[in-house]
Amino acid sequence: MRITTDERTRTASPEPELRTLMLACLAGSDSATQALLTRLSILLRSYFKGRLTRLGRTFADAEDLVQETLISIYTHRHTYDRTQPLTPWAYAIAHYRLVDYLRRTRRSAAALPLDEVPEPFADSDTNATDSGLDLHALISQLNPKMRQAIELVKLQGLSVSEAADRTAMSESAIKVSVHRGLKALAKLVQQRRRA
Amino acid sequence: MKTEDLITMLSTNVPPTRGREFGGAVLIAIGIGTAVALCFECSMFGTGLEGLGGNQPGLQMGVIALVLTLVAAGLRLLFVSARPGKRGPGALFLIGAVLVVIVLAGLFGLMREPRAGWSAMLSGEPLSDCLICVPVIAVPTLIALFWALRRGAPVYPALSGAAAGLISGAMGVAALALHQPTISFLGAAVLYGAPIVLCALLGAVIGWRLLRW
Repeated sequence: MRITTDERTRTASPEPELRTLMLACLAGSDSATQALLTRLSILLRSYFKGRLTRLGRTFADAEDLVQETLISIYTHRHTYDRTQPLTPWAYAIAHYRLVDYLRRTRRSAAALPLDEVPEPFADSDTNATDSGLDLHALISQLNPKMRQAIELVKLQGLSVSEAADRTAMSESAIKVSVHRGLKALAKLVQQRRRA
Repeated sequence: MKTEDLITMLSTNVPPTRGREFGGAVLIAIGIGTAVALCFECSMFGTGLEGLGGNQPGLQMGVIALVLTLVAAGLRLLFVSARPGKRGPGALFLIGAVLVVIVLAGLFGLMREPRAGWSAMLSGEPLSDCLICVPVIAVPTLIALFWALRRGAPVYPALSGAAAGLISGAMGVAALALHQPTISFLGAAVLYGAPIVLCALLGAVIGWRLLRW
């Protein structure tokens, strides 16, 4: 039986490429981080749509879950063990976000098996939709230090030292404010989903 | 919000990460627990290790070895449970095995000692030392370990909290065992085993509430 190129592409494990990108992301590469999060978003979208459909839910919330998980993956990337495969780590975070979402929306997580084979990202889904969340509106709810740091470093693309020059904050304070701001942003996303 | 806008924001000015933040925080927490234990030991009981000079040194060494095994296995479970995608069946098995040994020691003590002597083994100075020593050492250690766990990503918060409680309780008991000679299997099982289990349960309950992220 001949295997077509499409089938080969579909069944090929994304692990080697994702792990390479993750290692570059941990080293501080912007382009690798963008490529990693973009590839993960495609896999996560398919994962969440599949799970929500199996639970009898519409997958309108899948994009929100994708975004929540991407923020969690980014803010907790230091917990990734560089000697281990990436997909079980990313899957565990996605699964945690899904269980948390079901708990927040008062649905049972009992239908979700906790122990599954660590090959969760078998399919891809590139059909991104907008979530119901407004990034700028969420950032505006952060405290002034965090908001300013995120706007300068993450939205305007200034370096940490340039951002420190523009504000009365030190470079380490800028770094801490960005990190805490992203975590606060993740909380806000979850609270908006609960509301 | 478009997902690609979020990705663009997240991937702008990405700082390098060493990956040692969580491990470093746990080491600091254990250091705080050890320092508290040593300070408390010196201030309350002096620098002597009376526990090692009792009339049953073999039993005492066995108790300390079991408790330190629980600390090591608890640390392994803590590291595994706070890093997504990792599993720690070995640590859970070891913790279960040590707890079974403690229960068996208690049953052995019940069979060996006459009923009239049970209350004497579980009261007096050993009991009062246990009630003071274990909480004084376990609570600061537990707080420090929860501080460390907040820097990880515990996907099973109750399990991570239980591991933190187990470590802190076992450290408190280890400090007590260095000072207080063990007089019987029953006393060791109840006065040492019960606080460890209670601390683990307390950690699980608090972890469920505080470690969600």
